[in-house]
Amino acid sequence: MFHFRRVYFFLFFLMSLFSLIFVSGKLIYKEFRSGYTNPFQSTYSIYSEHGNLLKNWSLEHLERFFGPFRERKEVGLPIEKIYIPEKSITHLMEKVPDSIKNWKKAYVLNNKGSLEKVKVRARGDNPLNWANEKKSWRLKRKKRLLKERVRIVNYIVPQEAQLISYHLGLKLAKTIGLLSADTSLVELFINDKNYGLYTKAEHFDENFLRNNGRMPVNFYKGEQYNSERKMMLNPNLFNNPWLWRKVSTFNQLKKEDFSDLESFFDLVRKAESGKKDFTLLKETARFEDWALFSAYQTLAQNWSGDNHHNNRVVIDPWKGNVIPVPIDSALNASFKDPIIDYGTNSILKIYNQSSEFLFTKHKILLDLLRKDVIGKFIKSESKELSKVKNTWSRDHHKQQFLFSNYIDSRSFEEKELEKEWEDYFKKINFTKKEIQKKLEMSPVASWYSKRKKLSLVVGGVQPVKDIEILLKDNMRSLKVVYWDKDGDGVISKEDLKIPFDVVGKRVIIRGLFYANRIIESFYPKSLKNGNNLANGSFEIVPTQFNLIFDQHISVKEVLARNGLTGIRTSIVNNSKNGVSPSLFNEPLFSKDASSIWMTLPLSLKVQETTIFDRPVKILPGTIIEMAPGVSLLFKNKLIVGGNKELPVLVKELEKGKPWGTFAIHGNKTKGSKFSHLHIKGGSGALIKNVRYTSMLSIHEVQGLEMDNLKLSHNHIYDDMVHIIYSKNIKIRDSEFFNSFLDTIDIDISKANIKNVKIYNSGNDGIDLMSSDIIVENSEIKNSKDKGISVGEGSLSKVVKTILRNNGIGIESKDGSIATINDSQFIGNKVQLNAYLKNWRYSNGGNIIVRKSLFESGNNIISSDHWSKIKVINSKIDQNKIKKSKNVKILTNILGTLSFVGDKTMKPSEFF
Amino acid sequence: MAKKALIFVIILIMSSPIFLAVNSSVRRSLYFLVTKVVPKSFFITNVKRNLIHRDFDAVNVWLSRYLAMTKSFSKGNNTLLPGLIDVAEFAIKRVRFNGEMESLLPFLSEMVKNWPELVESRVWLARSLGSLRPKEALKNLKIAEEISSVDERIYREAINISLKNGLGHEVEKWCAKYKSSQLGGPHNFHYDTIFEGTGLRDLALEIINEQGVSKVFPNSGLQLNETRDYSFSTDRLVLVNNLKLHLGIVPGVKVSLKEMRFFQAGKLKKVFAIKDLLLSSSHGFLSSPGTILSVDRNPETVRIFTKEKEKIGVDKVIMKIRFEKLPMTNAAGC
Repeated sequence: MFHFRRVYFFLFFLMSLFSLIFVSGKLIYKEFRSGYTNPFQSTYSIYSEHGNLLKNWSLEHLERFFGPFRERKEVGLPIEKIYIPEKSITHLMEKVPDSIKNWKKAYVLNNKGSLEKVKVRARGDNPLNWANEKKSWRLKRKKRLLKERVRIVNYIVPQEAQLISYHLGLKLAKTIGLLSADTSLVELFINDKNYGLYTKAEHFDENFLRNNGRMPVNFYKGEQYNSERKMMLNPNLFNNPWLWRKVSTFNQLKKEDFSDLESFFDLVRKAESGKKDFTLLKETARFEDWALFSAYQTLAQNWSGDNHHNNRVVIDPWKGNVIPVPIDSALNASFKDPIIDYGTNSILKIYNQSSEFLFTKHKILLDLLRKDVIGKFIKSESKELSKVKNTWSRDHHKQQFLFSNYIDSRSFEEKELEKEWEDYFKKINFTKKEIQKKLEMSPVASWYSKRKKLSLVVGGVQPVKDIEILLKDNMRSLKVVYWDKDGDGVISKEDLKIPFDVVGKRVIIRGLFYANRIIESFYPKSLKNGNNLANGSFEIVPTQFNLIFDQHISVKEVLARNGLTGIRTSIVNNSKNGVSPSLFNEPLFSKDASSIWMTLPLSLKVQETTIFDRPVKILPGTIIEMAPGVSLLFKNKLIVGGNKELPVLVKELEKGKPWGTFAIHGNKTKGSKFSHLHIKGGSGALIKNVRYTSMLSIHEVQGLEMDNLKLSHNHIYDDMVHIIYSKNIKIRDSEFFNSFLDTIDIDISKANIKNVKIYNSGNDGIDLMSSDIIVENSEIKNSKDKGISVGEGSLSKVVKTILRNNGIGIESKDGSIATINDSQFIGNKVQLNAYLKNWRYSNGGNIIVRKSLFESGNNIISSDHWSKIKVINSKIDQNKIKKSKNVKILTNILGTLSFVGDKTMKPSEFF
Repeated sequence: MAKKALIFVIILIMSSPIFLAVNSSVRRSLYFLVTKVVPKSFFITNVKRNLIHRDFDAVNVWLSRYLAMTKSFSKGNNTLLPGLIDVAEFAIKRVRFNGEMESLLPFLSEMVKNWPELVESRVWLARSLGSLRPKEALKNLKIAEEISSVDERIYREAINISLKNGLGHEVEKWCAKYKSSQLGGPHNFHYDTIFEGTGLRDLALEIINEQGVSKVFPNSGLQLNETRDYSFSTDRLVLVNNLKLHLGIVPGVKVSLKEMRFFQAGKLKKVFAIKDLLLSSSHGFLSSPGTILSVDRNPETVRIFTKEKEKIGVDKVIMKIRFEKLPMTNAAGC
C-alpha cells in the first residue's frame, strides 16, 4: 500500500516537474521570441522588473479562473464582439514578431446582430501590445462594408495606471481642433470571452483624411523605434525621408515620391542657421498649426513625437503646409511644476526658441485655459467613469496590466481605482492652474539706463510688452528708438527700429519681449542615460535687450505689461545683466506694412512669378500680360475693380505660350472681390510647394465675391477654376468657355453659382468633391463629360438651370446628394447618372429632380445598386425613357412646369 | 529507490538552467546574449581561418551559412544581423582584387535580397558587380543613395565603377549629387556618437571655462556650400578658456572657419578673425589656416584657442563657417 502510494506520489511529482519545466521553457521561449529577436527591443518592458515569469503566469491563470466569480454583472462600456478562429490566432503567434502583422480571417458582430467577415492582426511594434494574452488588435473591414466611413480600427490595451489617459489625451486633441483620431472606450469580447477594457481608435489612412475634411494627400508615419527602426542608419527622423512611410498617398504623385518630405527636412535644417529659411519654414509649417499642437502638448504634459518615435505629419500640397498629428499621446498630470515650452523634435525645438512662435502658442494656451476647455472636457468625460468601472471589474487581465506596465497593485481594486482617478483629476486641475498662473504672472523684468541707452532684462515664461519709460524731462523731440540687434552699441544697418509713443514725460515702447529659451546644455558627463544633444528641454534665461535712443534719456521709472494679459507693473532698476538674445528671439512689433494697400499699374507685364503679401487693388482697364509660365499669387485681400466698359484683362504675353496661375490664397484674403475680370491663356503652377492646378486658383479663401468673370482657353493643368478649402465663394453673371478639362472644380468648399454660362468644357462643367454648392439660373452646355459632377460626399442644389448636350447631365456618386428643381435636361447623352465609384464612401449617389424638363431622343437615367434617383413632377416622354432599376419616376405631370427656361440662350461675345 | 532518486537528480540538474532563468530577467538576458555572441564568434573564426590564405570562395561559403542562419532566425532586422554585418565587413575590408570581391557575389546578392535597406550591403554588392554588371551595380547604388544620400561610400563606389566602365555622364551625375546631398547618415550599431549618428546636420560648441568645466551647446543647421553664421547661445555668462567645435560629419568635408564673434549681455565683445585663432583637430588635418579636412566616420573635434591673454566672458558665440565636400576624383565636372 505504502509502496503503491509512493509510486503515485513519485509519478505525480515527476509529472508536476515536467509540467513546470515545460511551462517555464515555453515562457522563456516566448519572451525570447518577443523581446530578443529584434535588436532594438528589450524584454524589460514586456515583463515586470523582477521578471519572475512563472509567478506572473500563475497569478494570471488564477485571476482568469476566479475572476468570473467576483465580476459585476452590469454591463459597462459598449460591448464589441470579434470572433477570431483559433487557427488565425495560432498563425499570428506562430513566429513572433514576424507573424503578428499578417492579416488573418475573423468576424465581427455588427449592429444587425449578424456576423460580418473582417480581417485582424496584432497592433503595435512594442511587444507590450501583443506578447501577452490580452493583445492590441487591428481590425479591417471589407471595402463595401465600412462603418461610419472607417475601414480600419485599433483596439488598444490600456497601458497607464488611470486606464483612461490615452483615450482622454487623444480626445482632448480633437476637442481643441487638432487633426486627431477618434477614440472611445469599449469592452471587447473575443470568441465570447471577455477581454475587458480597450481604447478603440481610428486608424490613420486616406479615410481618416477624407473623414476629417482633408484632401487625400501624403500622410507620413515616422517611426525609428522597436521593430520599425532601420539598422545602421542615423535614426533622426527629421533628417532622412527614407525613415518614413506613407499611410496615405497623394494620387498625383508616385507612391515612392518623397520629394515633399525631403524639401521639408532641408528647410527644417536650414532654418536653424538662416533667418530667410526660417521665414520659409514658417510658411510651410505654419505657426497656427504647430502652435496649437505645441499648446496641446503643454496642456497634456505629453512630449511624444520626438526625433525617433510617434511622428505623423500630413503634407497638403493644396495648402502648402505640413500639419502635425498627435499619436500615442496620453493626458498626463502630476503635482510637479508643469513644463510650458518643450521642443520634442527638430521643428518644435527651433520654433520654441522663436519669440513669434511662443507668443502665438501662449495666446492659444491662455485662451484654452481661460475658457476652461480642460475642466469642461474632464467634467463631461467623468460621466463615463461608472461604465469604465463596471467594465474594469469584468476584465480578468488585471495581472497582465499590472506587471507589464510596472504598475503596483493600487489600481487593482475598484476603490483604489476611484482614488487613482480622483488623484488624477486633481493633478490635471493643478497642472492647468499652474500653467495659467505662470502665463498670467506680472512681468519679470529689470532695467538700467546710461546716456542714450536703456537695457531691458526679461525673464520668466510670460512675455513683456509696452515698456513705459517715465522720464525726468520731456522728450518731444525723440525721433527714433532702435534695438541694438548686432550689439555694436551704435545705431547701424542691422538694428531694428521700434515703434513708440511719447506722452508728456512718458515714452512707451510698443514692442513685445521674451526671455531666451536655451536648449538645456550638457556637461559632457551627463551625455548618458538617453540624454543626447537632440534633447529639447529648455532653460528660460533672463535676456537683455539694449535699446538705443537718438538722444540722452534720464529715466525715473519703467513700467511694463504682461504681453498676454496686459497687467501693468513697475519693473526694478538694477544693473544686473542678462544674456544676449538668441537667434530667433527678437522683439515683436505690430507690422503695419502688411496692411498697406498697393495698386497695380494699369499696364503690367509680369516677367516672373510674383507673390503679394499686402492687400492689392486692380483698377478698371488694367491689362496684365503674363510671360510664359509665370504666375501671380495674392495672399492678402484683392479687389479687382473692373467695370463693363473697362474690364481687367489677364492674358498671355506671348501668344500661344501659356502662363501659370492667377491665384488667391489664405485666410487674409477674406472679403476680396473680383468684378469684370477677364482671364485667358493660363495653365497652373507649383509655387513654394503649393499646387495650383488651374488658371484661376482659389485656395483657403473664406469669402470671395466674383461677378462678370469671363474665362477661356486654359491649358495643361486640370481646371479652369479650382476652388479648394474655401467658404462663402460667390460667382455671378459670369461666362466660362472652352476649358482644357474641368471648368469649375470645387473641393471641400462651399460656393454659390448664379447666372453663369459654362460652354464647351473639355471634361466636366462643374466638378465637386466633398463640397456644398447652389447653382441657379445657369446654363451648362457641351461638356465632354458631366455637366455637373457631384462626388465624394457633396451636396448640390441646382435650380432653374439648363443642362444641354453634355456627356452626362448630372451625375451623383459616393454618398453625394443632388437636388434639382425647375431645370432642363436637353439632349445630354445620359441625362442623370448615380453610382458608387469610390469604396471609401460606402454609398452611391442620390438624385432628386422636381418640376424639370427632360428632352432627348432617348432619356437615359441610370443608377447602380448603391444609388437612387427620383424624378418627381417632371416632364419626360414616357416612350423615350431608358432607366435602370433604382430609378423612380413619380407623378409624371405634363405641362405643369413652373420654369422652362430660355432655350435660345446664346453665349455673349467674348474677348 | 536509488535509481529513482538518481533519475530525479539528473532531471533536476538538467532542468536547473530553466528554473534559474524563469525567475530572473538578468539571468535570462545572459542566456539570450549567448545566442548573439556564439554564432558571431564561430563564424568569424571560420572566416579568419580562410582569410589567412585569401580563400574568398570559402569565405563566401561561411558568410552564406551565417546569412542562412540569420535569415531563419527572424525576418528583417534581428539580433544576429549586426554580427553578420561585422563579420562580412571584416572580410570585405581584406579584399584587394576584383576577383576576390566577385567571389563574395552570391553572399552579397542574398544579403541585399534579405535586407534591402542596408546601405553597406548595397555598396558591397555594387563593388562586386562593378566589372561584371556595372548597370546593376549603379542601380544598387542609386537605391543606397535614396536610403542615405549623405554616405560618401556610395559615391566613391559609383564614381569608380563609372570611371572604370567609361560612363562619363554617370561620373558627372554622381559628382553633382555628391556635392549637395545632405540627408540621412550612418549610425554604428554598437555605439552612439554625441549626435547619435553622423551625417551632415549637427555641430556643437563645447565651452570650457577657466576651471576646466565644460558645457556643450548644439546647433543642427549645418548647410553645405554656403558661408553661414552658426549661433550658439549659452544659459549664462561663461569665462572662456578654450572652445571645442564638435562636428557630426562624414569624412571628406572641408570645414572653413572664417570668423568668430563673442557676445555678452547683448553687446558684441570681440570679433576673432581666423588669424587670431589657433586650431587643432582630433582626427582631421588642416589644409590652410582655419580649414580642416574631416577624415573619420566618428565626429571630428576642432579645438579652438584664442590668442587673447585675457579671458572673455560670453553668452553667445557666432561662428562663420563654410562646409564643402572635397572632390573624389579629378574627372571633368567633379
